[in-house]
Amino acid sequence: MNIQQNVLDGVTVIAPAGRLDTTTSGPLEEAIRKTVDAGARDVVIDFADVDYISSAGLRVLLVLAKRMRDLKGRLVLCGMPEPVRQVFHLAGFLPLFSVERSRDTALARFAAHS
Amino acid sequence: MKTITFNIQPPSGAAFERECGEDPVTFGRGGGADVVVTDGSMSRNHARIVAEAGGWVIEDLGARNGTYVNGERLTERQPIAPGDIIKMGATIVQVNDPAQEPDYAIGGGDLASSIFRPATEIAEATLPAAPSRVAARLKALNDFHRSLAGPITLDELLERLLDGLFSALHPEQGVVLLQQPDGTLATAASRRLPGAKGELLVSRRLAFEVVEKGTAALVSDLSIDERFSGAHSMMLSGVRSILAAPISDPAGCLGMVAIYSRAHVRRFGEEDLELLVSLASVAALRIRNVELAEEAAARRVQDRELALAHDIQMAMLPRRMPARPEVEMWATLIPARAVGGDLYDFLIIDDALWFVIADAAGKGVSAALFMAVTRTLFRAVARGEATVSSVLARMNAELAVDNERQFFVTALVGRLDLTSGRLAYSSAGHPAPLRLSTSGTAEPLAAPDGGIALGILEDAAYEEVELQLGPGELLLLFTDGVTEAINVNGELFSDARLLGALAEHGARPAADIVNRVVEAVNGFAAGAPQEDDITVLALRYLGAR
Repeated sequence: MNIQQNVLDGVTVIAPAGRLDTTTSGPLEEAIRKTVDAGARDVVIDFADVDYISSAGLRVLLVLAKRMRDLKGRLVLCGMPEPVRQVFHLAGFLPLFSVERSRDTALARFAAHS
Repeated sequence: MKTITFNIQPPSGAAFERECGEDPVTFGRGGGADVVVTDGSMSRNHARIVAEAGGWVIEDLGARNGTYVNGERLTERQPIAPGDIIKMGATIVQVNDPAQEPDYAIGGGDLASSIFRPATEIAEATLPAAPSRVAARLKALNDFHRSLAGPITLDELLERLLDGLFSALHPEQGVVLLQQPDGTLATAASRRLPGAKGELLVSRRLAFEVVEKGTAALVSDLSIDERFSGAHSMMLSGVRSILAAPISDPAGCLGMVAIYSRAHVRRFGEEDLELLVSLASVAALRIRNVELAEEAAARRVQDRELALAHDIQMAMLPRRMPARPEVEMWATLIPARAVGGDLYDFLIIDDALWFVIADAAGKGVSAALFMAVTRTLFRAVARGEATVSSVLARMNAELAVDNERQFFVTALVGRLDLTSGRLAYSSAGHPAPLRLSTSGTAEPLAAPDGGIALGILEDAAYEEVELQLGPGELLLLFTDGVTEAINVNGELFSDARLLGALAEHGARPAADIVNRVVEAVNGFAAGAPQEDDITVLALRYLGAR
């Protein structure tokens, strides 16, 4: 799994690519954990290059969302291709997340609130 | 008073000897010192050896780089004894043992005496040796061979290797390093003679030469070997004679063995190296065998446990289908691994058939445990609740308590009234079922909105859908292992292919329909590994009886 990571205006953007399944969700969970451990509190996950997400992938996002709530941090998901959005929707998880169409609108959200 | 002699090895140039009697002897790089050494890192007057009543003591004369005795920096005057290694700047001064003839050279008068050579070459070489020593070496090899007969663990094998080394080569310390799965070297066995001093360290450099390059090493004096100029770990713990050999077989290098002796106690020679290489290669063959055997044994234990877990899990599934004339039901569950996170179950309570299909996130053991809890909850809750939505809500509330790792399970719970054909179902993030009519059409049923998977939101509520099943109509339930099965091109089986597989088959027996779905998925995957558990359940209402 290829995971791109950037910090833009103080917001950490994590962009995994490819399939997010049982095998690949481990490395993503680890990358996210390290980033949050290192102090990131404004986080965007960009799904633009994710082809598929399984329940194991969803769980990684749920763990992150829970942790960000506990830390009073902010998390925004963006760039979801329709099949990925469907998986979030079918599991009933969309209401748990702030979701934006693109990385730009996600970042704008932080700019507007900070 | 007697005298004491020193062997002085400057960073470059030849070593030389000096004697010290009753008069103090000063060491330094300046012209005023008694012993002048060409070493830029020494001070002009670096240190002094002084005779006292009981022997000799050393004093540091305020040297910029300090004076070290056996690796310890000198802070006050300190007695010295034969065998001590004194370091001044980059110069090594060894205190000779008067009882033992100094033996610096191997084979010639030159002090430079380290040998690196491919281990294979050494193993084949026939070095000239006295017949008695050849016999002794052969005996050592033979003894080692014999000690390895019979079943043996890796630890036992390494201990016997050390036994063989200590009895044949008489080192002060020995260590066996083996390569770990992550590519690093770790100490697998070590031994030292009682009273042997110093840390047992192998420098990275030596390990590299031996393990990576497959060379055997005879290093008679570390301080004068440029290859080890950075190997402070060894130098600071004293000059030693070292033998090291790779533990390798034709399949590759497994690690290395090294033995040490302080140089004044024993210096190893080429014959010793030859024997070490031979013992190491004998050990290598057995280590490979033992490792394979231990791996296989560990795998067998694990396989047995997983097979047991598989049996336990399969035993949680219904053994037979509902014995009611109003329904015809069939189901199959194919885990992707030995154990999985999928589940189906049913209960008959009065004239109602309650059923559940569920899919715990992930796969393997964690998913299987979550599945088992889900089944228990379904059975406990369904008996006490009136509606499918309240069953899901109760199950969810239980699963969401203290769920730090955010495990979740998607589930669909249904209740079929056997006297009327009224069906109610409620979904917690689970794919909607399909309805197959007697005429052969297949259509997805509505998924109630907002049903969040179980275990995440403690106070989640669920909606339910009600509909009427006519006699002969069939409900097909499945987990996403069906629709998300992938083929070698990475394409998903998809809802569309599932509907396609069922078209025109709505009137067939429930078991045929389930099998048809499984065959269609398998045909589509065409050998691509199964990524997720696959569960298919078909339930046909036959009408009131």
